Amino acid sequence: MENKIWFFGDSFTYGDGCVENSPPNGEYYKIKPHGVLWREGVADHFKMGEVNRSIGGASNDWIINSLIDELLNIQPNDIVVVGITWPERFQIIDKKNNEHRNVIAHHFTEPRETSTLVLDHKDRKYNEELFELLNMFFIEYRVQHGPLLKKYQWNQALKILKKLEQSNVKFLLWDLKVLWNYETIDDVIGNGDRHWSWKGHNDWMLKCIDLLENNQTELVEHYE
Amino acid sequence: MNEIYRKIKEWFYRRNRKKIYKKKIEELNKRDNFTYKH
Repeated sequence: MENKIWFFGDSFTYGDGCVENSPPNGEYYKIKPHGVLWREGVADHFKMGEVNRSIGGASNDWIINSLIDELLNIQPNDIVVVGITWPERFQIIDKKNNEHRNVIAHHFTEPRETSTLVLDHKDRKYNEELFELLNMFFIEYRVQHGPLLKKYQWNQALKILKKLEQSNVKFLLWDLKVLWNYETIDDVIGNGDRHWSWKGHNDWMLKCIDLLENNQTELVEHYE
Repeated sequence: MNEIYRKIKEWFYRRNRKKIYKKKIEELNKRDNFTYKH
């Protein structure tokens, strides 16, 4: 059976800007549709089947929960790459369809009438009040305690990965430290999108391969 | 909910949170890459 390489993370793992329809009608992808996403390049290098469990706007709650959801499917000699995101984001369950949703700053800038984050579909006033309270929770607790949350989330992921390592699973846990080291879409077309360009993907792919081949398991910058 | 909500709103205005939140959310939204032109 072919071994797999698993990727967990946010838009930087998913490849926003270099993936068709993410974002919808993305300007950069229209101009430059050809290239290799870093996660695909890493999977090719190790000749492993790629499993992508990342999504734009992911929270660390969601990323760690996705890793837990796959624990029983990860096999000896697989590789797991986990990209930790900004710590204030959090996961909720949509009451209407029981889907997991990630709450991020963007939700608090959308007009309420068209917001994609609906907390209660049946009672509009209650929904608005709850939304305001979530905004407070987001700023007063999540943002305020970002560094503390980040360390906690990092250690949670690390413990799971170290347990997997005992079953001969190689891993890399990385965080936002590397984001601005590589070329962005904004650098190429100046549209303000700071996700990685194809060159950024290529350079991070090479770094990622180097870290995995040298058995480096963590790439982190804990901020205070 | 009403009573709790009222008390929290009072606190929110007493602490002048409106402007602080707006600024912080804008800052995070920019960092999160959600402000660029698609």
